[in-house]
Amino acid sequence: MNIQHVRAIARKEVWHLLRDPRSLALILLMPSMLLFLFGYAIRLDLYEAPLAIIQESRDTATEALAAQFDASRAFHVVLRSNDRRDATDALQRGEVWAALIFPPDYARRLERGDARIQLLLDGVDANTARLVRNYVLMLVNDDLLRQGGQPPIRIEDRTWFNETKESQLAIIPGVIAMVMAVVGAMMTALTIAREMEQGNLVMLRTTPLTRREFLLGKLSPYLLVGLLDLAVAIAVAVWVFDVPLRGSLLALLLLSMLFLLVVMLQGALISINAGNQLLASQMAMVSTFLPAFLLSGFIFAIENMPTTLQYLTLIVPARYYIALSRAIFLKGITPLLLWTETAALLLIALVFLRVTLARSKKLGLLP
Amino acid sequence: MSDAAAPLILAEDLTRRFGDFTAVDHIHVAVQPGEVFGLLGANGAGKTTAIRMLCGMLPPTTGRIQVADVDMVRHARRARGQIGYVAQRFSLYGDLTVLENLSLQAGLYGLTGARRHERLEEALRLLNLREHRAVMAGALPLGYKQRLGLAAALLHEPRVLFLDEPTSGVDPMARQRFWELIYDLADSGIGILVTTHYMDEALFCDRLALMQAGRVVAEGTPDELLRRPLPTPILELDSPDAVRFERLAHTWPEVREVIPHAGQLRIRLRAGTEPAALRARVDAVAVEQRLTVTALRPAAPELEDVFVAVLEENEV
Repeated sequence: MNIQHVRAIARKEVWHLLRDPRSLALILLMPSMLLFLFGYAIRLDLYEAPLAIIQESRDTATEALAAQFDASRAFHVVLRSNDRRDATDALQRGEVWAALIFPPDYARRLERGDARIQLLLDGVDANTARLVRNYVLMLVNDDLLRQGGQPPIRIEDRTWFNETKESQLAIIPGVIAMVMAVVGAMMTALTIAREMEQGNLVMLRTTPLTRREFLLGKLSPYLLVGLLDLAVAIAVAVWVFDVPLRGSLLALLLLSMLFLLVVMLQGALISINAGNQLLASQMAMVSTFLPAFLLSGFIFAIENMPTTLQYLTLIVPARYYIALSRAIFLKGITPLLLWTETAALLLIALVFLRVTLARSKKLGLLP
Repeated sequence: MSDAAAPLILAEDLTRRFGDFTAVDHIHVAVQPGEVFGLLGANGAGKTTAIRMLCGMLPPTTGRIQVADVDMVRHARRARGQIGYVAQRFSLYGDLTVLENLSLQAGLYGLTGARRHERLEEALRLLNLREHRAVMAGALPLGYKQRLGLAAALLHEPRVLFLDEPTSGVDPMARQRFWELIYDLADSGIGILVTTHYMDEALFCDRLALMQAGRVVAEGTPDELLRRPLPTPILELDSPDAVRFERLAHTWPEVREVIPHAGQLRIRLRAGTEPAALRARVDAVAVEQRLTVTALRPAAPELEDVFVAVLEENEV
């Protein structure tokens, strides 16, 4: 390993970056743009869900409960009527997501202790329907308690690490992982594929440069750019989305660097197999975005997946990084307690490195 | 520069197979210090595979390569420090300036401090690139790009220079200057191996090897090659009716090829045909069609004639 060779390649890479300010701006702005986009778009909480309330008898009991829904942040009562046909119409047209129907004998049966309410749900989006149902149950139970009634069992719940149960707090670290995976892999996939397209590697192969020196020199400037991206993303997470950073910033940065290295090596491996920029960028996109989104535990819990898919997630680097960054952000845990995830990332990095070097030797691509 | 000196490039029994296909078939190459060695051949004859092996880009299937006294197969990295290579296609970075490209090369060849500065200035001076140092390499005209490629290859004062079709697409004036520079470099004792398919360029080489189907089918100095007896004689027909003769000659059984050349016809006969047979045919046709023949004489063979003859011999 000759440091002068590494430096020569790294410096050249910096020149390329500075020479192409549009790409550089894109690399630097894309993560925060995506973070804003996903941060606001992906919501697993209910907020101002349109609701219809049908009171087939207007009395104090139904009025009190309806007022609860009106006051709630989760619902927005857009329709109040005493005819249940209005509710079915509104559901048909998609104007409301759910309709709460108080039958005429509600108040009477409430006193007897066997009151019934009908809840009609728009099940086209099953997830939202389930969410609405849970919120409604919660509000009704709360109301019952307030009136001194007794639901069958009373649960004293307390949610750790995310007291307000804001889904955002869990989502933002996941979005950061996804964005960094895409940007990291894309950067290296494009830059190495470009040198293959332009025939630069042919020239480099006649110099005393080695594969390791080339790879190290090539990756190091992009690692710095990636870290800059990451710093911006963490700042946005903490100051814009109010995600608490309870653990050590240093630990978070070090682990993020490791994750960046993994996805950048993934990009390098992709580019030497693809050979051109178009294919390389598509492969980088698909192979980072989809697994980071679907198979990383970002939105869908890995434990709920079919067993074969669970095994598949073992080779998704984002899975380990998301577990680590959530733990550092929300639990304030030290990464030493999560050494299996850290070790898994290290192992994947090592495997990618070996395969990249071996592949490029076999294809006769890198010096 | 004497014959006694050890060759700077020495390849023995060099073979490269790709599956069942033998791209280079047991060739021997020896290039002395100060010598310009030309490797000729059609596309697919094996020139590029040969030069890639000699530069250490492609390991040979069998054979031995020694470049500047270093074993290229086993110590490729050390050997690469002794060679300069100019690719057929511009392979430096178009979005870097001339000077940045050269600085990169300086770094890759381990030049530092005063020597680095000195070599950069020298390379810019030698190739007349001084006023273009801040220009993006991609914006240079083709001839300048080629010079930049050469400047980069010469930065570390290599003992051996490989040029893969260095002047393809470059205008004649630039080619001329390029070759003058090659001669100067050879005079300083560098061993130069160049591939080309321009016949006039081949004449500039000290020694030539003609490749066909992976093998070297003819080798020697241009003079030696020109003195080879041709199995297919060449005649030169000088006539004011050259255009009509050309049309007729295509149909004659004795003729293999007719090449109009500066108002004359160069007529290449089939192997085994006597020039007298053609002379008789020309005279008969001249009388019959009332055409004038100013002169019909044996022509001095050109390098291309020699190569065509050699290639034909080997095709059988």
